[in-house]
Amino acid sequence: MEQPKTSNPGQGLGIAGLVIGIITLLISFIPCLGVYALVPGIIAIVLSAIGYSQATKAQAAKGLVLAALIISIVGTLIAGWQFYALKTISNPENIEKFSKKFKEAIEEELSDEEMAEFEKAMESLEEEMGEEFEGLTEEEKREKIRKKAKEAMKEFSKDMEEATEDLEKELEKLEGDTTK
Amino acid sequence: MTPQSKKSYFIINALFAGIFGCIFVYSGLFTSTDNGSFIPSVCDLFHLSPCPSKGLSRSFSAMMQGDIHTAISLNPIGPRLFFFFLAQFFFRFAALTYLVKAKKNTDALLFTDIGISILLFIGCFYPFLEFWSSFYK
Repeated sequence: MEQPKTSNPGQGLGIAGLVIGIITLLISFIPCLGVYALVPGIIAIVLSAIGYSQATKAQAAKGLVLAALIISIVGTLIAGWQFYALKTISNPENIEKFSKKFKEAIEEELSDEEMAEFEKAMESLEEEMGEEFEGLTEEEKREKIRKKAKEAMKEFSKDMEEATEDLEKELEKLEGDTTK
Repeated sequence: MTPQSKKSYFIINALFAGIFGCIFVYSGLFTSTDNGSFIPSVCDLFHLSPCPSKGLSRSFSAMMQGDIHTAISLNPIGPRLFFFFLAQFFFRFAALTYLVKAKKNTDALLFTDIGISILLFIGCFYPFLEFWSSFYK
């Protein structure tokens, strides 16, 4: 006598899809690391989709398989969006666009003399960096740039403070002259 | 819950317990000062700095050694995530034990599981959810 079937078709694949789908969803929420969730996400979608088609063919219960499919798709979409966002941020073209806009904004703010001084400072910084960059890894180069930029910012803010103090003194002097 | 659903739920719990257990074994294999972990930092691959997930594996390793201060210094969100996985690990075992012993009322366990897991997820992943919401502002 034939034994009655105890498992629904597609159930096993549905369980596997659900477990991998939930793991995908969890990882996809972690910034940057979420990119790795793309691989299990795609596996979970494939497993769930096969499970769903098997369950549909056999007209079996589809609740679990459907849940697995939805969770996997959501997790993979979030991971895919993260991948797209990271790729956009780290694209050299976008960095170039940013520096162009930054330069434009600075040109608007500074006078010709100040601009010439700024460009001169940038050139000397580039020269300095060029000599120091020889034989360094990408990580070391980035670290050096970060340090130099920090130093330059400190120097810049110090100059700004001094300039503001000078301006204040001049203003006080002018005020004193006008009251006389 | 039908016997078939109960069996599926049992398998899902067992699989999650195994996966979470593997995470702890993986974290225990390395020390927080090791640089030889299997997962390369995505932040380095995409040249991103600062990165919210940098040092997460090492933070987990530090937590495995019970060094919470180092774990926080490596990644401030690391201990939260570690707690999430640890709580889930024990909850899976508790659910498995209940499923084996209890003959009835497994529906209550399923709904409690869903509720607790969602609350735990929101509580532990909150800094990341906050990060994503600030990303859109």
